[in-house]
Amino acid sequence: MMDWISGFLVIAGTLLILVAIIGLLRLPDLLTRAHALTKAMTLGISLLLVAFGLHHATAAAGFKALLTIFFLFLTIPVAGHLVGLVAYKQNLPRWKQQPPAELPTKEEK
Amino acid sequence: MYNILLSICIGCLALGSLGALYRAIIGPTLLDRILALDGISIAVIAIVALLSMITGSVYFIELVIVFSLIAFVSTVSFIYISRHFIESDELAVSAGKEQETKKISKSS
Repeated sequence: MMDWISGFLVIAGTLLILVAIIGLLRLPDLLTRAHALTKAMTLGISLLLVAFGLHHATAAAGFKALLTIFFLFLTIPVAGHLVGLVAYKQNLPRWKQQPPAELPTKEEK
Repeated sequence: MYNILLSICIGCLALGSLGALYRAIIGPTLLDRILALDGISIAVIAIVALLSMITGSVYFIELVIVFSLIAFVSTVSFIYISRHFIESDELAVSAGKEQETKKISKSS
């Protein structure tokens, strides 16, 4: 029974990571690429690590898998947000849309 | 049966990391390459987790933790370097020129 659950989670995580890579390859713009990669990849890797904890079925493996999921949930969105912020600051070209108004700087606050 | 499923998933993730490597090679700006390297490192983390499930050894999870730390630190340091040591003209190499030509064509 546990093998069925972890196998389903492995298939779902692999498909989500593949969707993230396809989005990285196909989308037209840096910000959309960061959007696809960050969200789908975070969910995919966390499903794979949950399957890891269910497959080994010991307390140490499950705790370390949960710790890794927490760490990845902290770090991957921060990296994606940094890429988006630098792309905004450099005013890179976008797909079909002009950039909105300026970000408020520190002096204006 | 279960090991065959895990092997097929490892093959799919290897193909995915090759696709991210393609984006890292052809990416029009430097930020695309940084993003693609982030994707490659997370695909490698997933491959290590699946390999641990095949071999039945729990101790690969430390490798997963260390590799995710290396991926995060390398992404942040690449972005720091690109913001502080590289001119903004070099960052938007080919894409910026396209935008300038669009602006010129719009104004004319």
